[in-house]
Amino acid sequence: MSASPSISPAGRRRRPLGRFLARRLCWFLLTLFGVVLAAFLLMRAVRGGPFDGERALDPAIAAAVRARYHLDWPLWRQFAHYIGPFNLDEHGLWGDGSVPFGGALAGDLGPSFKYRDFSVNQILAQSLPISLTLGGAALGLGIALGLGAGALCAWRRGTALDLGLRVLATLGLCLPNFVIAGLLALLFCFELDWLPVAGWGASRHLILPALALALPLAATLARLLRAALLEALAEDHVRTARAKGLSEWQILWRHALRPALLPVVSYLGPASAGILTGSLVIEKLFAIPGTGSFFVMSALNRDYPLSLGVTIVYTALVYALNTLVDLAYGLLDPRLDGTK
Amino acid sequence: MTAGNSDAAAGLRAGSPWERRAAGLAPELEKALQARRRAGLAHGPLGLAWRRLWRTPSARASLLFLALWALLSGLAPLWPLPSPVAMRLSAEPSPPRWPWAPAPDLPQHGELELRPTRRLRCCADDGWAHRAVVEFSLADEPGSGFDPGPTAALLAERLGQVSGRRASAALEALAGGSWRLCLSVPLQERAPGLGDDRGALPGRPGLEARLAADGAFSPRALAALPGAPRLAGLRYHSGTWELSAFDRWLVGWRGRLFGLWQSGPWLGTDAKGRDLLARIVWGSRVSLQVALVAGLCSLTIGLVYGAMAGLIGGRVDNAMMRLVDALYSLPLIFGVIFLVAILNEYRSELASRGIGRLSVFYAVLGAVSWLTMARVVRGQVLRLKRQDFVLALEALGASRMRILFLHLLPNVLPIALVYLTLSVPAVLLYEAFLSFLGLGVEPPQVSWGLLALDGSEALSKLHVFWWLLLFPALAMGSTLLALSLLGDELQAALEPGTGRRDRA
Repeated sequence: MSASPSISPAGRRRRPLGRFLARRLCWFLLTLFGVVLAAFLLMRAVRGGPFDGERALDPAIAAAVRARYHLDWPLWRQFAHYIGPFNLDEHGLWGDGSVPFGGALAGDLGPSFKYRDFSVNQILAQSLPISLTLGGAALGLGIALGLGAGALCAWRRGTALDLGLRVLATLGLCLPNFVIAGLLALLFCFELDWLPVAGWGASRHLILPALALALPLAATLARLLRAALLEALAEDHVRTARAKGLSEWQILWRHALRPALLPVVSYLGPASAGILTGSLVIEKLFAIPGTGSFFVMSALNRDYPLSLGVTIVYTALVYALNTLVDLAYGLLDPRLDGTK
Repeated sequence: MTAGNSDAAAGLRAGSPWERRAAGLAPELEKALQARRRAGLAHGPLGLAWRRLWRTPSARASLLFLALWALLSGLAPLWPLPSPVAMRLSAEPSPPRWPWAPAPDLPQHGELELRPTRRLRCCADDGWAHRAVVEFSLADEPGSGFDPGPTAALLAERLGQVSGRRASAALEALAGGSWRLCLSVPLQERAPGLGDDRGALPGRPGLEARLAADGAFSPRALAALPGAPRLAGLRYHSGTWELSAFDRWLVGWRGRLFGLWQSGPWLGTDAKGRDLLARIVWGSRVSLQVALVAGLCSLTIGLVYGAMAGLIGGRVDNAMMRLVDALYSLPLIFGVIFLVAILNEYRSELASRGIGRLSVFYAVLGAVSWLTMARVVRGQVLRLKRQDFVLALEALGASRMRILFLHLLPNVLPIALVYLTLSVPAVLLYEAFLSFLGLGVEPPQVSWGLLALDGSEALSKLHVFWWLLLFPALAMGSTLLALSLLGDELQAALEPGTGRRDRA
């Protein structure tokens, strides 16, 4: 399979990092272009727009609204205007020239259809930090919990602690995160009354949603790390270390952990995508004004520019994280060339 | 070695005592060999895998559990459950009540435990269409030969005049010589307030008010009729769940088996008085159906795509796998939400062509979850392609398609089956996820995702309606757990050498 890293013979010169990054960037741009093109065509082809409400608009007003959002232009022009980098409306390069550049390539994702006074950029600027805080906290928490639990399981393998943690991990994998979130809220907010249910602003608000997002990730990581550690502990160099008289903890920490981290790191790419996905529901559940809740609202409200903008940003995020993971591969195990 | 051969051999070499002894053993040996051959033949690679699977306690437990769910959800109309959409309006959800606890709020409960009737169709909660059911009780002197038919017809006609719609009647004999008459009046499709599941119902259709205002239904006027009918109640059924012919047949059997008896609120009810147990069972129907069909969808796409890529190979294979890689790197859920939102616009067109919302759902979910399957199948095909039997087939002049469909795919199928058991839970989660966001299954129908949504919406500081969240979560979690255990063990059983997926 082309994705599996090849084992390079010792002493072979690594491929330059720059070329790898450039290749990834090319693929990324190609993919993103495909996504944007498909989504754009779909949403322009779809009958009924965001302005078709219960009441039919006055034809003159409808025409004015369509003109305001350039829906009366031919499709190619709309697409070119959206992609950029040249602004094609009356303020653009070919108009009065006051705003020569625009479109996605110039960093402008257009106006929102539903939140009339806001551009997609403004909404993202407002909501993305919230989502990133939540996602980052969840990722950190998930990694910490997962690695801790996995290492603990491998260290104390075969004991009741190991068994209990494994059962917990399996359960964490089998429940959707919104159910976990509900159960956590039931326990900590309603029965024990320790934490606030919903809202955003204080750090107390962050705990529960981050935990709900982190637990499935932690469960997966714990399982992966435990399996990988057990495999690594069966290897020859560990036997040598044991023969040297190192303590079990030292062996685990110094000799087994590094090779065992490989599958864990490779899972971080999908994990970050999973956290972004999970944040859609978690943000809705805990009434957090993050990008995820805006995305769901925009999809329901037919606010296509906003949903497309969020998709672009999230795709870029996931892609960047995947690239980082591939880079980390090479750092962790020089035998594997992640920059292939 | 066959029996005839061994007999002949024994007859030829019956000289020495040792040989005679061997000849005497031959039938036993023959029997043992036959038994072994039978075992070997009846259990080829798949049979052996099955036996290995069945010997594993966790796999057996999950198989039995899943079979139980399949039975429960597939035959849902047969079980004596209340209707999952029939509402009994109350201010707040009622907590679970054990089967043996007395029923406080069911005054008609005593009447319900009467002899089985075949007229269940109208009287019990079989109704998944909007309608009002007006109940009358008719008294009858024992042995007077009272015929309730004319009274029923008269009342149905009057009700038709009041409501402006044709009422249909169902009569049912109760013990002690009384009759129960259920008149059901169809309400308009998507009556304002009725169509949407979230509004409060009482008084909306105004039938109660009209009945009260109409003189023909005053107690005095009713008492003058033969049988002295008494207005016993008015219920509304909301929803557009049309039962299929098979389901209606099951409902008929339910009437024959259980009569009017139905389970109580063992798992509690939600804020609209809908029975949670019934909703979980009926919800499992939708959820499992979506998971299974979408899983099969992804299996088909993945099989065809992966097999094509593996078989054609070369540049085409490379391009096809690049596409899979590219799709892998996208957060596909955004695409799914996008697609579902856009397909919602065309709902009426799709519906007029007989494509329901659920079919759209199957297709969309299947279309995004085939990637892993395609990779696995391609790997398998690449491995198989190099084996000698394929070479032999090619030398014999078998066409590519013949090799693919008759020889490669059957060999790939077991491993694809393993991934099916892994992709079904994924699709189940997707369904719950989308329903939770309001993009999936819609309210007259019910699925586990919707139940989880209801449960988490019902969380509040004042009253902790824990059962609304806990029981759907248990149902979902246990099913997913069983599926993932089964997947792990299936893999271990099919590839005994390689060990388990991740034995964590």
